[in-house]
Amino acid sequence: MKSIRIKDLSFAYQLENPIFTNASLELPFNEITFLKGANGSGKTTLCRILSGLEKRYIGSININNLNFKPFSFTERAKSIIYLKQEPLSNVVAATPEDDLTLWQHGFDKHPNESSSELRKRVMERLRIKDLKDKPFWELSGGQVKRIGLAALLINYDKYWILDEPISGLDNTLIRIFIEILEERKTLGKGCLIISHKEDKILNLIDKSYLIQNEHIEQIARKF
Amino acid sequence: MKNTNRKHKNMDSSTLLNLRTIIILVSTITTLSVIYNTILMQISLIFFSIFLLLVIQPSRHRFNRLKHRMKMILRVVISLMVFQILFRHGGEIIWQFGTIKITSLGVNYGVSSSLRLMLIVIIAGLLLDIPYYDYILAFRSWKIPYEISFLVASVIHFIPIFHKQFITSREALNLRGIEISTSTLHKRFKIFSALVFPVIAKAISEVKYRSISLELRAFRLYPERTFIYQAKLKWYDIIIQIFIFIGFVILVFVTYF
Repeated sequence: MKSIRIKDLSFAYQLENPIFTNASLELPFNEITFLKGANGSGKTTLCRILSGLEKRYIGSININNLNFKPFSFTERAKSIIYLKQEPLSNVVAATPEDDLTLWQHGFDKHPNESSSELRKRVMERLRIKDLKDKPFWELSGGQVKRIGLAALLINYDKYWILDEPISGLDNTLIRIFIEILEERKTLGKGCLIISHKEDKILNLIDKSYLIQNEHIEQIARKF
Repeated sequence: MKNTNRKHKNMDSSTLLNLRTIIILVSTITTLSVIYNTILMQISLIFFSIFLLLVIQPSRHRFNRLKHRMKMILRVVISLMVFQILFRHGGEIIWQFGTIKITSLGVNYGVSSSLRLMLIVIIAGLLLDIPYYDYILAFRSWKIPYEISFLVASVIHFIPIFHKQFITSREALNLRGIEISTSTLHKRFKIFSALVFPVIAKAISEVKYRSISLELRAFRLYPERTFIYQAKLKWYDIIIQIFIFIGFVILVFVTYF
């Protein structure tokens, strides 16, 4: 089964302040993995390392036994999608419609009918159809977060790395998000979720991990 | 609250001079660069600016940033030089091929304006990274009204916000598998034109929240205000400032009278 395997990972922004020391973790692509830890423990840093935004680490990260380090962003983006915690930082274009088109086609190809149909469906599901032409700076944090979730649906087949995906969402949207995760789970598609709200998605989680004292430890599930 | 002298621990630990002295130095150098529009003067000022950077801010991090900035601007400098040389005509014709001609005035303008642009980039390195609070203190010492000081300092504070916003957008692009560094020039142009407006808008929206928090703190409500620390001039700051003033006056006097 496809997975990301992290072995003996060590990383520090400043030498005197290590974030990880010989940390190991396996993220199977068909499982929902939950990761928690105190503020500043390195949860977001791990996401940045996995997405290629931080490359100055020691240790190995393999995807299907291939070393992940020399992968370009283009190669990484074919198999994983990472959504940052701050909603606006996931946005590039000026409006949701343009941004989702960019997710689909980049700057290369012209949008076609099937891709605009997919965008329409996704926006309807997340109730953002009316916002599609509104500039991002006029949207609330929760609304921008929904555009991020729409980007996930556009990239449905990739492995999702989600940093606090449900913070800022109302109960209806949390329910929609959980439905999406359930659907994916039945299809054998997993993700990595970082959140402080474990209880909301507890039943969906396959494995839970805790980042503590520069290590990543598996924790027993609560039932 | 009694004002206290601050032991500069962060940024200022590597800044030898007071910000007021640095501002005077930067203003004088850029003014000289405009007054004396000759290639020799521009080169001399560039060397002097590099010397100042070496003396005032000897930090490896800053030099790496300067190197990066120079690398980024090199294409603009070269393009500017080529356009000036090709399209500004006057003086002696050095080379001609059909309608295309290179004149002595074009070469002079092209080289000197490119060098001036380089000079601005180098000398701006002296002012970057200085906490905006230090700007407020510097302007206050010059008896500039607090509102104006705050306004100017906020503009300086806007630069890192804008820079951060640009990096965030670049990272968002990378996460979509789009890499600016490996893109063709045509694609880069498309990327930048798509990025510029949202980046500026997002940076401005951050400033909007800043202005709201200012209002909430009753900005300008009280005529007097206190400061956490003072930035006093040291003896060598005073000597340098006097020296700059006298030097500048003599130079202008010798040139024009």
